[in-house]
Amino acid sequence: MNDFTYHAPTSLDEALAALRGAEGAKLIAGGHSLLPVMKLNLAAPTDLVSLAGVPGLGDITDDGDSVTVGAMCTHAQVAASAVVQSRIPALAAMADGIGDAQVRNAGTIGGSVAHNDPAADYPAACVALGATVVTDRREIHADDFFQGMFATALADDEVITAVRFPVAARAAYAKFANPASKYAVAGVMVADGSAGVRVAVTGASGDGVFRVADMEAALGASFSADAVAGISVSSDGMLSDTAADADYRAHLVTVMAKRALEACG
Amino acid sequence: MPRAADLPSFSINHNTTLCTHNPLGVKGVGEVGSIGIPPAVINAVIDALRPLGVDDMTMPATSQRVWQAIQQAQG
Repeated sequence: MNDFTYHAPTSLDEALAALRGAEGAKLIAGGHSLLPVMKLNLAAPTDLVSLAGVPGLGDITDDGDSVTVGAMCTHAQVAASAVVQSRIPALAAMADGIGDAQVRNAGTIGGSVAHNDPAADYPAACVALGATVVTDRREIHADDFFQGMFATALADDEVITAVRFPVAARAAYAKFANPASKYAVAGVMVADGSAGVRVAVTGASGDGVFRVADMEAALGASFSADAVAGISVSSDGMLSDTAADADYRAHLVTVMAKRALEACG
Repeated sequence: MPRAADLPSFSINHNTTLCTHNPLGVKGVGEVGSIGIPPAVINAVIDALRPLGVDDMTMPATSQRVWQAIQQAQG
């Protein structure tokens, strides 16, 4: 790992200033995505700007028709939140299934969505629930935020402050997890909410999270596992690795969609 | 205290004594108790999948391999 300068700002303005102060500066939240790539020398930021000391990024609030989760909330905090558990139980359950206990207690929602790993769980939840990513300067709908593997709509000097999830009438997440990492080999979030019926898939495609229009149309007529049982997705563009090849991943998408719908009751 | 360097040279030979309790005359060594488990598990997998036309399975029987075997058997 290369040397870097560590910044510990105590306000959002200080964080932004530090981020803009060096061309190779990167934000760090829980560090669960950034540190591994730094150790592998796949990333070599000159400056790390920690968000740990920036106030106001760790709150979870019930806004009535939505729940706002601060960017620095860990997965464990989201999973254990009484607000999330009561308003969007599918989101709490999803957070509870990320990685292992160490990952859940360090990794953050802001870091996860900013990184946009194609096998991360949060992108599916954000797109299915129709979430909005709130930054220091604007609000970005999940549909516009995720732009392919490790790519997002964020500017280089933009800081996520929160993610706002509309409350859904019913929703559930099912994933086929890599047995070692618990990353999604295929993860499907189904939601019947303010954004309509949505089926969002993570882990399967090389382009990251995507929706399955055929399933959404079928669920609009009948919100049940049977409605999607006969709908398959193409294996074109699916990831292929030791955990699952492209054909098996495509198969798993339908299986996980059925399981999520069964979990909706 | 004798050390490795103090040992004489060895000549190593096999002294074969066949087991009289099984047709192959073989004996287990080392972790002999674990040797029977993998074939038992794999045979159980094949037995479960036989109605689908599957008659072979290589280890490890991951979910992907099981699915692929079913796909191939059903053409």
